Amino acid sequence: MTDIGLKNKEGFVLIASIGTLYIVLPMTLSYFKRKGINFKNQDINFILASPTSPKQAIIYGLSKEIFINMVMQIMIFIAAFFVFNISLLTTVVLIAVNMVFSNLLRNSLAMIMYASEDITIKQKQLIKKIVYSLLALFTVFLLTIVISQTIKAGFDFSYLTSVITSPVVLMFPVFGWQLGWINLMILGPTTYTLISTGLYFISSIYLAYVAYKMVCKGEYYEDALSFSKHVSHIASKKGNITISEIFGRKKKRYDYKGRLEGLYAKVIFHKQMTELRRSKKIILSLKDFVYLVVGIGLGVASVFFNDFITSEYFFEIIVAIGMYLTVFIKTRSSWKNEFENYYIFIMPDSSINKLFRATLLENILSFIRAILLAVPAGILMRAPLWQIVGAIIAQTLIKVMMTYVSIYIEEIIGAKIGKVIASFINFIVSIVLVIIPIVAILIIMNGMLFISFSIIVLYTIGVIILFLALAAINLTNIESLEE
Amino acid sequence: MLKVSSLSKVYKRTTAVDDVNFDVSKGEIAVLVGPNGAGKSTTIKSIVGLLRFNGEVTIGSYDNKSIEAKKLLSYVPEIPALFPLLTVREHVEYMSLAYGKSVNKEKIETLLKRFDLVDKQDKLGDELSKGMMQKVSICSAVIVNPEVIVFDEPMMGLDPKAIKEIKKLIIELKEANKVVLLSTHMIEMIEDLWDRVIIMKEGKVIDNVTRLETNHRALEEFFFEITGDTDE
Repeated sequence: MTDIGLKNKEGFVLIASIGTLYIVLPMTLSYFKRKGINFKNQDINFILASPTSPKQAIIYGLSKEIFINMVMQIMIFIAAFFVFNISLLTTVVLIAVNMVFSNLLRNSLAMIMYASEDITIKQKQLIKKIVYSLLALFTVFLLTIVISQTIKAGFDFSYLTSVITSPVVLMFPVFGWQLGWINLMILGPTTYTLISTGLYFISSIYLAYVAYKMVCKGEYYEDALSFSKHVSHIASKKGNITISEIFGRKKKRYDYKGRLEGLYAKVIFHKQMTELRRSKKIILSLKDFVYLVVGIGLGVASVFFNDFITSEYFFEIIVAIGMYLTVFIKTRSSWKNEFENYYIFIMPDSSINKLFRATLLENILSFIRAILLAVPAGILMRAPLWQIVGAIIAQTLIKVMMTYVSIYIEEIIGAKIGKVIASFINFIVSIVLVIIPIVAILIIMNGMLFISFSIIVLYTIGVIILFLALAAINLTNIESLEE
Repeated sequence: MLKVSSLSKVYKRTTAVDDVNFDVSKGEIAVLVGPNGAGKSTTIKSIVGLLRFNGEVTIGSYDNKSIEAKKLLSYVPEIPALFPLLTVREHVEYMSLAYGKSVNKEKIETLLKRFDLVDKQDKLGDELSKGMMQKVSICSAVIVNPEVIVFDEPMMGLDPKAIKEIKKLIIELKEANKVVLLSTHMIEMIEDLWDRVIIMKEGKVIDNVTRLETNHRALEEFFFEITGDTDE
């Protein structure tokens, strides 16, 4: 570990305290919303529905999370002993006591907040809000001290350490008291570390007593069921999920009166368009705006560094950036949703037509992204119009080519050999496939722009047709994409 | 009209369907019955072209994977799968268009009314209960006026009125000279419907007879006699 002023006892206290406040605390707070304990379907059938007491059921639920605490304690042990060179005896005592009391505290608090019927949901929400507000206030306080000190005398980790070991933090109910024990063991006794450690032990035992005595007849079952349903929904989507869904928020829907049209596979495009308009306020996603930002950034840069980025190399720069973004930025793949449903397989149309129509919207979006990149950059760089148009066409074709290569290698072959290996192969093939456009760009360097543009267009169209056909031949049944 | 020849389906090392053969003629209601795990759903999914299989399935004179065959066939799956962001009405319209037919508003209205979906027609796919999803699947399959219609456990999750309605619908399809193949393990529900029974057990067809050939015996009694699964 590079010494950045952290490789000492204070550094260890700082890292352990930050971990407790910003990792353990939010995890515990999740129980206030009756989330965090995942009862699986088999638990619901065989434990919640059986004559097991609701308290026992929750202890069972929490016991599944105990290993997370164990792992954290092991990590603290490794860090303390091997990285921060704290004596073995101190480390063992620190961890052993923490194992007992932190589990007691955390699980008692979780039980009370998750299942106690003595405290109303509203009161729990209020407690949660107060704790979050205190944490936010503390963060502001911490940052203010650090920033003001840094402005005065430059950055030093000791500012952070002085705040985290200050009496204000150590007297922070429950979670601050927990830090008292770490401070006491590592930095030695002070009035505050002794008081907060005492409060830590007392509160752990008292909360365990409250949890033992509290009324719990199973009111939490309904919320446990809904959380379990949410978790299995996320699991079933296999990564195809938004951040807001992970945090339990319902996907937003927008009113859009769609109109389906087009016969046979043509209807797929109109369906996807309707779905897109209902799921997004504007059809573009945040990732798409990366292209606009890069386009504007490039244009602005050309204004300031006109010796380095000149309109002479506009086509090469845009196509190269387009290729880079294509390989490294993964965008949504609405086509896949179509092939996970039976409708497309019973539809009386050719496989190639179905795949083409199912990917049309994605290809149009690639075209829009190419415009977002090339137009602002082209205008600011004062590139000729035909070069802007050429860059848009070349970039779109490269992206479309990559889409079909990915469908065939990552999805279809990946279903047979495993997604990880297939993703790796896809990455290698993608790199190999862009070599020809790169060679074509090198030709432009010699002033033959039209020839290189023609090479890119013909080459990408050839690869598109090849991979579209290969993918379509294989996408004839619902098993094609199943691992 | 529907001909299944030497159909076999193997999942890794498990043979789910083993050398299945049967025909269903126009105007005939064939029921595919059998205990859980008999291979009914796998047979159905192979017929509609959702699975890879060995053997041959023809619809009319066409191979089931051909576009011509798909034009003649429609399917109601066991587990209804709707598009979360399409409304009830749009699902039915989508199927019409996907089969190359223009949207017949009057026909859609009649179907939705028949399955109590008129007041739900603007609800999105993921706002519906399982039973309602099943009704939407049935309407979507019927709207294309297929020559062959395949139902996989169509009565699962339906309310009594909808079950009555679907039975009536199946009779109407038979009267319109269509081929109806339906799989179920709810034998008592189809007692008054069937013309031909195909009994499956452990992936094989163990009997394939018409109602006439059984001397109009009760299907339940006949089924237990053939499968040997009596409670005695």
